[in-house]
Amino acid sequence: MHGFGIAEDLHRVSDALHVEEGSLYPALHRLESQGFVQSTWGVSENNRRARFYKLTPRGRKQVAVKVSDWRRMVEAVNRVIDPLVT
Amino acid sequence: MLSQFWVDVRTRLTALFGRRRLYARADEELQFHVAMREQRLIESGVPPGEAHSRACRELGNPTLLAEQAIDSWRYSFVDTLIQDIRYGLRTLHKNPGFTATAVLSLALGIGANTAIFSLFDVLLFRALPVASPDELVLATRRTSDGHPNLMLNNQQREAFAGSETLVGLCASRHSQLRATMSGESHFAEGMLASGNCFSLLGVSAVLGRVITEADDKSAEPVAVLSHRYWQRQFGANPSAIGQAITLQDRTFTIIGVAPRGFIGLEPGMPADIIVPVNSLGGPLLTNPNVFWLRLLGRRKPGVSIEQVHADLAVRFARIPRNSRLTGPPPKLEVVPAASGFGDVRMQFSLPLRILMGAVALVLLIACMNLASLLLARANGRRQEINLRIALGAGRGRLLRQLLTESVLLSGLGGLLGLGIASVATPLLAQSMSRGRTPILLDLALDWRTLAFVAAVSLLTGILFGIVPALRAIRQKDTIGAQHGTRLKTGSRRWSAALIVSQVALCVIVLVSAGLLLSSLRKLQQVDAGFRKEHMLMLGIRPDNYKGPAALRLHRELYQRFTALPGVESVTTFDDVPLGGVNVTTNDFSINSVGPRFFETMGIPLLSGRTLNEQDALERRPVAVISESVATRLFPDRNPLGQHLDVFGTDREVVGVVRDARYRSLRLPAEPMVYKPAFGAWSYGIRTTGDPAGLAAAVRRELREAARDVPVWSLDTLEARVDATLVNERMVSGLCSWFGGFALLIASIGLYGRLSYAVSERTGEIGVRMALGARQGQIVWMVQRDALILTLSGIAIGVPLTLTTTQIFRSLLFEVGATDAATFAVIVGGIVAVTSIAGYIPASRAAGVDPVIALRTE
Repeated sequence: MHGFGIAEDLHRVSDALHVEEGSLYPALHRLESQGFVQSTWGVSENNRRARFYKLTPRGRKQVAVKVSDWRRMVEAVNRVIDPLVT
Repeated sequence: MLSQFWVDVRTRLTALFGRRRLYARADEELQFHVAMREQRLIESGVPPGEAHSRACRELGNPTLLAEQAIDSWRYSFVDTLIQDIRYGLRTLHKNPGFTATAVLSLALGIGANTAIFSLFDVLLFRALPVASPDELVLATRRTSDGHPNLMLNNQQREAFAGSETLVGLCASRHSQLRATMSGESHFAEGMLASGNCFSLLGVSAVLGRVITEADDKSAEPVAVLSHRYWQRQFGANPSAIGQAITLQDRTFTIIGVAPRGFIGLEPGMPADIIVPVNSLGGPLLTNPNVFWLRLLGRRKPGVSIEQVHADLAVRFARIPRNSRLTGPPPKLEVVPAASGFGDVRMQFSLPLRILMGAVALVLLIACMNLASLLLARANGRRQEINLRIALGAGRGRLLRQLLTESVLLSGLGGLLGLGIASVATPLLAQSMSRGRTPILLDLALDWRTLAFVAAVSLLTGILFGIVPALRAIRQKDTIGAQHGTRLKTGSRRWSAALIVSQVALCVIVLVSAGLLLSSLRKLQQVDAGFRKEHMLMLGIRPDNYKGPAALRLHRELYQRFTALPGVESVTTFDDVPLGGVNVTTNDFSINSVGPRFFETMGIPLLSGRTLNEQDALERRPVAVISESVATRLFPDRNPLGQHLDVFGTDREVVGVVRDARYRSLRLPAEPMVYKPAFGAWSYGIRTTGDPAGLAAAVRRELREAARDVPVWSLDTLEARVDATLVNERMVSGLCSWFGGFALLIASIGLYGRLSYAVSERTGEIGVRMALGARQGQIVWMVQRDALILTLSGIAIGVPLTLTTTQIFRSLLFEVGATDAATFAVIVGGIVAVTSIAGYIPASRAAGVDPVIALRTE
């Protein structure tokens, strides 16, 4: 998927995460330099040259780790705030 | 996974060196993004003009984004490295004395290594500029007395030619050729080569064509020029092709120019004119008893050198031997020839190896000196380092920074060393070239030398920087260190070990130099049996003059030289003392000499008479013999009036002269029989003044008498005698310089250590003096340290030296490899020099004012 596609997907899934679109690119580059994604030149749906990004196996593992981290974090925060709201 | 790794490495390198490309990538991505967004906006009904600016706005600052994207790629260590280098340069700049000592001693060490290495490289390593040089092999003989001989002849060439193990076999020979162009003659470095040489080597012409096998059989002799000869003689003019050139007495047509790098197959002996072997080989081609060709083969792919040897040895054994020869048959050997072969290499192989060893030791000493300087400085910088550790600097980071500094020092040393080497190498090559044939080497810096310097500098910096750096950061007593800067015992032991090793290495280099020097002096004192002073030697090869014409030329030259002002007498001869002998029988050698030979050469007559002009003109059957011939052949009789057989001529002995050395100063005098002759083309001219000053006049006379006879050799006899000692002189001279330099560095190291010790013990010294210690006692206290270190170094160095000097025993003359006198002198010298190095800090210690010392404490 190319950078624009990623940005569009993010838009579609959640409006709340509407950050400045451009900052996606430094992030992608950083992920690639750490070996979590891999990129190649390809042709987009409207026949333009675009950089396509793909998760590497290491990246997939990292996603699992980060997701479970996040879940634990959310759970922990919830445990703290749940008594307050009820 | 691996491919991922390579992609990663590539991209990172791109980030490092190809910032622009990475920038272009980020830029294109961002543009694509804007274009896509714009399209979506238009699709959703936004007017086109507004769509673009909105797309841009939503993206953000593209330049900044691209910068950020690139930054995530950079290796952070490059930035750190630059920071470290800056910091290192600043610290070095702040300590000019330390920096200068370290850099200079390293520069001399590395420079000397580089100079010797480049000679080593050119003569022994560098591959010939031909196709697949690794496949080349040289067939050589080992004669029955065990001497290697690179020469073979046509008989072997034919026997080996059909070998299944070789792609082909070519024959060549280096030879000086008398070249004549438009009436002027000179000697050129030539090479006789079989017609298949060029094709076998894979060398083609840059202009015209090369010699082919057809030229071997052709009656039209042809010649190929080297690139440099073509430039020098023809101004690189393409019209040289097709011109005629007379070599010896035949006229050759120039057919081509060899590529720039190709100057023959023997390092040091260039080939400027290459002609077919058959064109000048003459009767040698069919003579089975003369060995004069070098046979070079190319292995077939997959065939080992042993297989080649096995096959050729069988073929070699099948060649019928000359029945007159006795003793065991010579053995065939096959050696790799990727980097060429030849006499120059054989001559200088041992000296260069010795020198390489000596300079390696010198570099080692310089490195140890660097290490001890760094060690002392690490102690001096303790507060700084402790402060940085306290402020949170990582030890790894500090180590890197200290190593950067030492590598910086060695790198600067390497650069300066390269400069020193570029001056020293040509000088060295020149000093090797003494003698008749100049040794010509291509000394341009090549990548090997540069790689050598880079490797040596880097290794020096890291290997000898790591211990001081580790010691500097491994200081646990951060608080205790604030107080003073006392050397810790660990560092103290290290620096003592360094100084002891330096002294030990100095002993090796200096004793070697001493032994070589005293054997050189012994060689120079050898009575060669003739007077070498005031003699000018001229050699010509007028083989175009024959019979009466030759005699006429000879007499004219004789008269012209005799008539020159400042000439005492003139003579001719076949063999010049120390120039080797040409004709030998079982009992003696034979030298054909002209009138006044003994008078001119200064060989004293013991009894009877010398040879005169009448003897030569009338070809009288007389001879003068040297005293060793007299004692050998006529031990119990008066040799005068006796007869002896010289190549079938019965000659009467009319005189006995003193022995003279013809082969070498190292070998005993040659038993020599002198027969009278005219027409030997070597002239000895005894002068009243400086013989070299007469050279121009002799040259002029020769030109006037015969314009087509070039000078073959013209130098003083003293220079010739010197030339026979070129190895000894070069090795002993350089070793002395290296030894002196090594001792200087070691003394600086010792001085540094003692000064440091004194400054650290100022308080203690103050107390001692306050308690009544005399100045002499204080001096001794410091000097004792110096003496202990020096003597320990000597104790280790002497046994080491005893084994090392065995390596160059063959260069020594009448001096044992364990010569006690040399050892004693060198050891005494080392003790004296180190005592001086120790005296300065010692006297400073003695000058300490106890009051001041105690107050500072």
